[in-house]
Amino acid sequence: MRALCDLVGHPSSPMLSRRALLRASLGTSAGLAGILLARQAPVLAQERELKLLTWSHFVPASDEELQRQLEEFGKMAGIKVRMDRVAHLQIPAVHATQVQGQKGHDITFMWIGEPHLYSNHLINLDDLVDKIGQRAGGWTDQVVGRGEDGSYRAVPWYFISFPVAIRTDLVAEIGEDLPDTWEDVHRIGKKLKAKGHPVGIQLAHSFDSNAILRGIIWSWGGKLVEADGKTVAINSKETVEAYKFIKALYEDCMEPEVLAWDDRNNNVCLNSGKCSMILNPISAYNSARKDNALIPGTNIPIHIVINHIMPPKGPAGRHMCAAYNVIGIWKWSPVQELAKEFLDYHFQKEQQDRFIRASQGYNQPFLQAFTMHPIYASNPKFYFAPYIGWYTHAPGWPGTPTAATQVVWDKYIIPDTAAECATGKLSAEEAVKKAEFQIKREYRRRA
Amino acid sequence: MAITKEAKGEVLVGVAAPTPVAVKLKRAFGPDIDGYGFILPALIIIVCLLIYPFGLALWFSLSDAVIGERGHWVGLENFIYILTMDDIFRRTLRNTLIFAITSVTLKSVFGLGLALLLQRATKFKRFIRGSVLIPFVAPTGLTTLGWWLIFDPTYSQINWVLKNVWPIKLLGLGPYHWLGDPTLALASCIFVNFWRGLPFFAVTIFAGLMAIPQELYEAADTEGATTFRKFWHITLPLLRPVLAIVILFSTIFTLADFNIVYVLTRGGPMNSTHLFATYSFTVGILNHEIGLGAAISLFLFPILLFVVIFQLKMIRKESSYGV
Repeated sequence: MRALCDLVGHPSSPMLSRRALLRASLGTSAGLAGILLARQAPVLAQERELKLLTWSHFVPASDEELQRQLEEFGKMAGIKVRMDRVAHLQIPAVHATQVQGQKGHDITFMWIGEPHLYSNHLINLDDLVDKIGQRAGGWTDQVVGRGEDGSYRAVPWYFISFPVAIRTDLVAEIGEDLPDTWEDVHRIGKKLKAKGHPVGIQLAHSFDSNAILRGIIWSWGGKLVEADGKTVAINSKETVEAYKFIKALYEDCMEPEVLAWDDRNNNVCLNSGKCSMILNPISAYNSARKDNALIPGTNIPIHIVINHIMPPKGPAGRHMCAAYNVIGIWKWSPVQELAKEFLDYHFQKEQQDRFIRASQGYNQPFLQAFTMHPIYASNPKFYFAPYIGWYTHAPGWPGTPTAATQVVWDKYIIPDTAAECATGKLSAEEAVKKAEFQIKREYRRRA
Repeated sequence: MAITKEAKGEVLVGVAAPTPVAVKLKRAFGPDIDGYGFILPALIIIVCLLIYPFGLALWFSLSDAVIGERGHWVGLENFIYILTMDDIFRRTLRNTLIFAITSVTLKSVFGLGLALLLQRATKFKRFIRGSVLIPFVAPTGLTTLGWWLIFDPTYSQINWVLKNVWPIKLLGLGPYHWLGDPTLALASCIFVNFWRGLPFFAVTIFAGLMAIPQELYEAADTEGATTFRKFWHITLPLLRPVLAIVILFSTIFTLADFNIVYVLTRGGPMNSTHLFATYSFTVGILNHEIGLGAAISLFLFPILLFVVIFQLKMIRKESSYGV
């Protein structure tokens, strides 16, 4: 009450006249209405600050290094900085709410399709991408980072590849060689499941599931869209065969738990000694090494018997999808030039080197100068990394990514229909037809 | 003591003579014009945070708006699509009804039972009553994360108990894929909602029990009434108004539940556990189709309206019971 009296100019009296209360009430209303209409905080509350949003990295040291670079840049530029991390599956929700409200961070991490999806809300970065590329021997990919109009709406940041992470000891125990084809995976997986060590591939709403299942479809010669990036082509004999294989893999080599997995569960399954193989970036191996996880019932660290091999071959070759990450600047940012300066700084040789090292090689660069980074020669289990790019494609392949590619990804159309096929809810033909209907709708809407 | 008109004005109102503008406003709005000023902040908040978003949702539902882009008017196209082409929506509608009816029924029955037990607990009653409330007062997201670990697809603690703890292990049950099987996943969500909402029922019904006059039970005892007959003819009828209110609130909250399903299953597996809130969020925000998402969320409105009207009618009917 005293505070309210002070506010309305009656510091000494506990009584509050009706007129004074009315005046305060109207003043509050006007203030509230002003803030809500202007959608802007009062000038006193505004401060010059550079805000960066990124995903919560599976190798936390990568985020720590990014934070360090941001803070160092903040000191040099004399501004406040802030880095926020969000679980990767929540990133689309954060982007959606920020775009809808035209407020939020200045710099943001994005998936490959988002510069298309949010082309109108991201600033043009052609000059910056050129400058960084020239400095580091060019880019390995000319598509990543571009928006709907073909200009760069984000800087290609790094990709995260999907090799097979496999328990070599278990494969040796059954007298098999490491698998080279998906048929090998099926044969070996069947034997190992019988011994209590299933294969672990998510058939659920997870990033890994989206990526791996696309890889299987491509390896069978199927594709979601034609090379023009517009014509939906999923309903083919090849895709149906791929779905049949997924069903066989699920029934013979996996357990129903994969239907409820997120991107963490397969790592846990491998590192706890249960799973025999998963398709996953090197984070599972790195975690096992960092935590010194042991093979159950022994004193042997499990990371010693985990190795990475190239994604398996299918009838149409070796193909796998990956996480293609980019970093962009929102148009609503009041500090766009500073944001560009930070990205310029972050992509300098010294900073990139530290960034890749901090991630233990998890962040695979798009810059030519870093593709053969020494970290990949530092551990024989990373040998695949510089070469896996030969077999790795972005979502939307053989076409280029579009806004529709991102929406189809975010809707988990492939994991859902593959799971329905695997569990016998739909036949392979029905599942592919259902996927075709849903994908066509998205491509039509985003045309 | 007699007080003159002038004195009354000075003591009770203490304001100067009204200005011509004030007089005009009073003529337009009546003598209680100050009241409008007092409620203005609340009105602005309601308009900005309730009516405006509702109107916006209505507009979105009739448009093909996607995130970040202005939509075009498409009339009822979204509603027609949802009803005719979207099998996940039909599943969502079914899930929502199963979720709400099962959960509220369980909470009502077990809440009443727990309230009767609380009434009998005479030792450590403060501790017991406080403990019962824990699931209700703890943050939903946090407790649901705990349940998520208990139902973990790979290392469910329930499955561990079924496999390792004597004598339960003799039954040879499990392992169950709590969050991987569509039926079990929905059952798990219902159970967590029941677990969380039970204290609300128990404590509210307990308060209702305490308000029932003991004389009625004493009179029934002298007539030789059995425990069941006392419960049926005294306790239950006098609890009905309280039960109706609790069920009304719980039904609204349960129908609109989001946290539990989103944390436990995110609508999976294969979109089989979505409720209206999670599905509209998924479609509208995660899948960028804000128009379609708004249309899905608006389906909840008539259902809630029906529940509220039905329950309020019940309450009015019940409130005349004792008159």
